[in-house]
This record gives sequence, C-alpha cells and structure tokens, in this order.
Amino acid sequence: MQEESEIINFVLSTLLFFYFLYVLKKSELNVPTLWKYAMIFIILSNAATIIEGYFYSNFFDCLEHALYMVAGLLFLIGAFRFKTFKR
Amino acid sequence: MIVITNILSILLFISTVIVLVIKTRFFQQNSVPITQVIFSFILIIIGISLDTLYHLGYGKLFDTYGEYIGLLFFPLIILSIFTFSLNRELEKQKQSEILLQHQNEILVKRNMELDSFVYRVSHDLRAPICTSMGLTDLSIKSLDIDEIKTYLNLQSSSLKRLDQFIIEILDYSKNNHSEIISENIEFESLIDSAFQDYQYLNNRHIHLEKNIFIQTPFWNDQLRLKIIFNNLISNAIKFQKTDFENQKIDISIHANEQLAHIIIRDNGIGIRENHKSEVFKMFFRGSNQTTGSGLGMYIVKDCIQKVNGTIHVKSNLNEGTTIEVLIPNLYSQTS
Repeated sequence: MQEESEIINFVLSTLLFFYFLYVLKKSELNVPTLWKYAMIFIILSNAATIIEGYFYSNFFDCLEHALYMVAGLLFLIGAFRFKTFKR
Repeated sequence: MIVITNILSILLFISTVIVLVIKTRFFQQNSVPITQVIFSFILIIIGISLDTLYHLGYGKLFDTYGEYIGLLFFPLIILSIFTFSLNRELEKQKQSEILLQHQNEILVKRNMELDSFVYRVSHDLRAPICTSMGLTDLSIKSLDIDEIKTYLNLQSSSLKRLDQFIIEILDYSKNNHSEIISENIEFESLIDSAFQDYQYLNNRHIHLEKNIFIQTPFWNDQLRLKIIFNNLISNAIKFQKTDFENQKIDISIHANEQLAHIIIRDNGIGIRENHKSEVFKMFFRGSNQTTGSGLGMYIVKDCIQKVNGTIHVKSNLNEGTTIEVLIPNLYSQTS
C-alpha cells in the first residue's frame, strides 16, 4: 500500500541531500565521508519503502530496514573516526 | 527478521549517540551543534522503535507516527550535520589562531633576545680586544722588561676571557642548531674534564668530591651534558669565597633506567635572594667577583630544556649553592 508521506519523504530527502552536497562544495566544509554515505543509504531506504508498495513487498520491506541498519553502522563508524580538537 | 534489523539499527544509533557524547564531552567542544546531531539520532531511534512496535503487532498508529518522524529526521540530520561541520571548521581555525599566536609570541621573544644578544656580543667581544690593544701600545712604549711582562700577563687574561666568551657563544649556537644524539654517558669523565679545564680559574685548591651511582647504562646527549657540566662546575669554581681555605664542591649522581638525579653543591658565595629568579636570564651577572659573560646559566637552562630535563637552584648567601638537575635516561628509547 502506497502512502503519500513515503513519497514526500523520499523526494524531500533526495532534494535536501543534493542541496546539502551543493552547499558543502561551495563552503568547502569537511563532513565525515561515512556520514554522507549513511545519508545516501537512508535515501535508498526511502526509495525501497516506495518500491515496496508496487512489487516484492516483503523483500523491499526487509531491504528498507536493512539499509537503515547499514546507515546506522556508517554513522557509528563515522562518529568513531572523526577527530576532536583538544583545547 | 524486520524486528531484528530494527533492534540492531536502534542499538547502532544509540552507540553513535554514546560515542558522540563521549568524544565531544570529554573534549568540551561543539556543545550546541553536537546536541542537534544527537537530537536527530534520538528522533530516529524513536521512529525505528515505533516502527518495531508496529511490526510486533501493536497497531497501525505506530507506523504512522514512525513515518512522520522519518519525515522530520532527514532535514534535521542535514541541518545538524551542517552546523556541526561549520562549528568544527571554526574550532579548527580557532586552534590554528591559538597556535599562530603562540608561535608569534615565541618569535617576538626570540627577536628581543637576538637584539640583546647582538648588542652584548659585540660589546663583550670588543672589550677584551680594546684592552689588549691598549696593553700592546703600552708594551711597545715601555722599556722596562718587568713592566712589559705585567702588561703581557694582563693581555693573556684578557684574551682568555675573550676565548671563554667565544666558547660560550659556540655552546649557545650548538645547542640551538644540533639535533639530540643519544649516546652512553660517562659522568665521571665529564666531571673530571670540566674540573681540569676550569680549576685554573681559582688560585686556591678546591676539594672535589664525587658520588656516582649508576644502576643501568645512562644514555643522553653527550654534547649538551658536557655544556651543562662545564658551566655548572666552572660556576662552582668561580664563585668560591676568595678568602676561604676549605673550598669544596660535592657532586652526587644517581642514575636509574628513568633518569639521572644530579646534585652539584658548593660552599661558595651563594646567590642573593632577589637574584635567584634572574640567574637563568640571558647576560645576567649576579656578582662582580668574576668577569663572566652572563650566558652560562642561560645556556644550561636551554640545554636542559632541550633534553627534557629540569633544573632547580637552592642557595643561601655566603653559605653556598646547590644545583639539582634531573635528566631523563634515553637508553630504553634508543635500544
């Protein structure tokens, strides 16, 4: 069953992500790379939620949650790896 | 299956929050932006938890709430990561500014020292040369052989002073420019060589007592230790009481695998209370008893800092001075 919020979520997150990349490129800010990949996985997870409504619903439902889990893993490794500045 | 992946996701996001809290709280930085990032993660943890409840059969409502939270999560995480990165960048710039400021302070200090150094060096180099030239003129004019001998003796001591001053400048330069070379240190030969070189500075016999206990081989920079011992021992010889018979210098060294504890004690004229904090300053001379350059203790302190050691001076006027030096043993780092 397709829900409107899922489509809005996917479109919004994709647009925001590209805008985010654009701002990052302009400002030359340094964001942990793994966090960027984690956000891509969240977008993919949102895409899987939409596809789930049309075909292979069980598979894409599982994939959606698995992709979220991968995103969580990447956020964790990214948090571990970033450097902090000692005062 | 979905419930398990959801639980794993929740655990991963909780771990991320914990890691971020530990990393940032310990270093007390990025407090506001990191709170935003953590808030986003807490939001997604709630969202996934609601979704898990839905999959466990607790009703459709949880799924709807989960969807709404999912909608909120992405803009929020993007915003918070952005402000977090911005803050990190600012923090990095602030650190660079602090470093730059610190380096600038060092440069200003060095520059002032250099100004003073050039002035004093040219003055102190010129003084013995002028004295020598004057004495040569007097010798040329004089016909009395005894008078000429007196002038030559004065000229000799003036040139010795010049030589000593040049040695000190060379020591200063060597300490500033040479790398630390770790090698086995023979304390006894360092002390003997320094004592033999400088005992002529004093007309009376000075009793030297050495107590050296070496538990393990002691390694450090030979050049700098030679400079340190030469200066400390020559000071202990120079600043003895002129009219005192029982002049003595005690040197004790205890070296183990961590460090060498060196104590050089004399019963000389001592240091005035108000001079104690000044002795390590460049060109500081606390007494007119000798004609030193005032560079010796400055070079000693510089050398000790280079080898990561410490120096402490205890002194009572007219009773004597005790210099305590701690030098690390580099044997374990070298072998």
